[in-house]
Amino acid sequence: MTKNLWNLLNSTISIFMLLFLPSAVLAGDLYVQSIKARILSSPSLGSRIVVEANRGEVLKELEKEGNWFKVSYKESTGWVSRLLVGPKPPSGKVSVLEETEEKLEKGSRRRASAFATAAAARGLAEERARISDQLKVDYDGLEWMEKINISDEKAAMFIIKGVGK
Amino acid sequence: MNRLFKLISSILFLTFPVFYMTVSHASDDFRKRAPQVEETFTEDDDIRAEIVFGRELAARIIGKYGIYKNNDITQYVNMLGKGLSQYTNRPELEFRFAVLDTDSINAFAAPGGYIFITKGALKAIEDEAELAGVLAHEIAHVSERHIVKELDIKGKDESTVANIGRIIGGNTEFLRGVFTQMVDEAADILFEKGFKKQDEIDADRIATLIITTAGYDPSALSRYLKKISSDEKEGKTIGSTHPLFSERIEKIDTLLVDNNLAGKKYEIVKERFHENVRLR
Repeated sequence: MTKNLWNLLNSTISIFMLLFLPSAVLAGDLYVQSIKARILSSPSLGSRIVVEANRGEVLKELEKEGNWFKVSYKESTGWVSRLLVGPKPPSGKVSVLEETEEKLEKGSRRRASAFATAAAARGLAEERARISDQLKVDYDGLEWMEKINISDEKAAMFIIKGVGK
Repeated sequence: MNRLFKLISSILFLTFPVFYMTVSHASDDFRKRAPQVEETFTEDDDIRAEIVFGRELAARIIGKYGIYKNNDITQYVNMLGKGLSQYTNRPELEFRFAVLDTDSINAFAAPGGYIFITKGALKAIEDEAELAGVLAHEIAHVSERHIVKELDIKGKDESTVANIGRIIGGNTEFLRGVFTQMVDEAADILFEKGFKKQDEIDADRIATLIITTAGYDPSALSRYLKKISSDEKEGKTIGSTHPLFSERIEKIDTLLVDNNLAGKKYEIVKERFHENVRLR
């Protein structure tokens, strides 16, 4: 009889825990946004590197402390900076320039958002007169800057080569 | 038997407030977090708004200083800057870098990934790690959306006054004027008022994370700031929008000590910097 009552007690507490605790401790997936994210042995930049995860890989959030998440990744557990991860998978590049060019060159081949269409109409060649009251505006210089085209991969390799890693 | 029932009731009575408080705390915590979730600009329209706004601001930065059209140096700065930008949580942005044609020592960031460093700053820099530190600081202003948050730039939220989507889409002189005013306000932050002190300190902290993760000397930004703050004392022209040198240096140095990074030897990549940047 006593045993049954203890079982009842345990079941009651378990039901409470099932009902209420998940909302307090439920942790989500974190996706690596940076090209690589170091998972460190403690929430400190200089601590030992446990493992490195690549962009797009999923880390399981275990807890949060300041700017750091404690995560599990494959067989390892460690700390990752909140600045390198996000709650959604990393997205591809967003560019207003490509949509603008596509629209200007080929018409509205695909449905651009109202925003992009408006940006296209206002953004480049047609609106040069839209000059600030106070400041000079240099779109030629801007376009010179935007013509430089370096891939993420090439730039990443450049850094790795420079620091010798 | 009765005692056991009393025991059960007592435990439930005593534990319920704890559970209640836990749940209540979790809800409070969620409420605190909820606005932050709303503030994250993950929707494409918000990102487009950020880029379109940043382009306009970039055109004003170039308008003020002029662009230094040296292909080799610009390629080098882009290679380094784009590499560093991949150590942030903004893979959706195409970061772009250019050198401004002025001997004043400064660097600027416009939303959407438009980053500038002056010729004067490049002359003051002594190695690639220092350049990485300066660029990473500007990248951090973009990745943390400091101007975007300051001016509440969004692409789709109808409730915000600064609804860039509506402003850009609206084809009236009034809305064009609003847009121009907003960009001018952002230019005022860059050229006159400066970022909030906390934004500068956060950008230094994130820059240190970026360069350390990429493999560069974590103290490089602090070294650069110490150098230009002493240049300032000697009367050289330093841009007025990055004040608080002593406080920033102190915060970075504390960060390095706290993270066990002080005094360790890391890559500074001096040779490659001087091969690519020949301005003296």
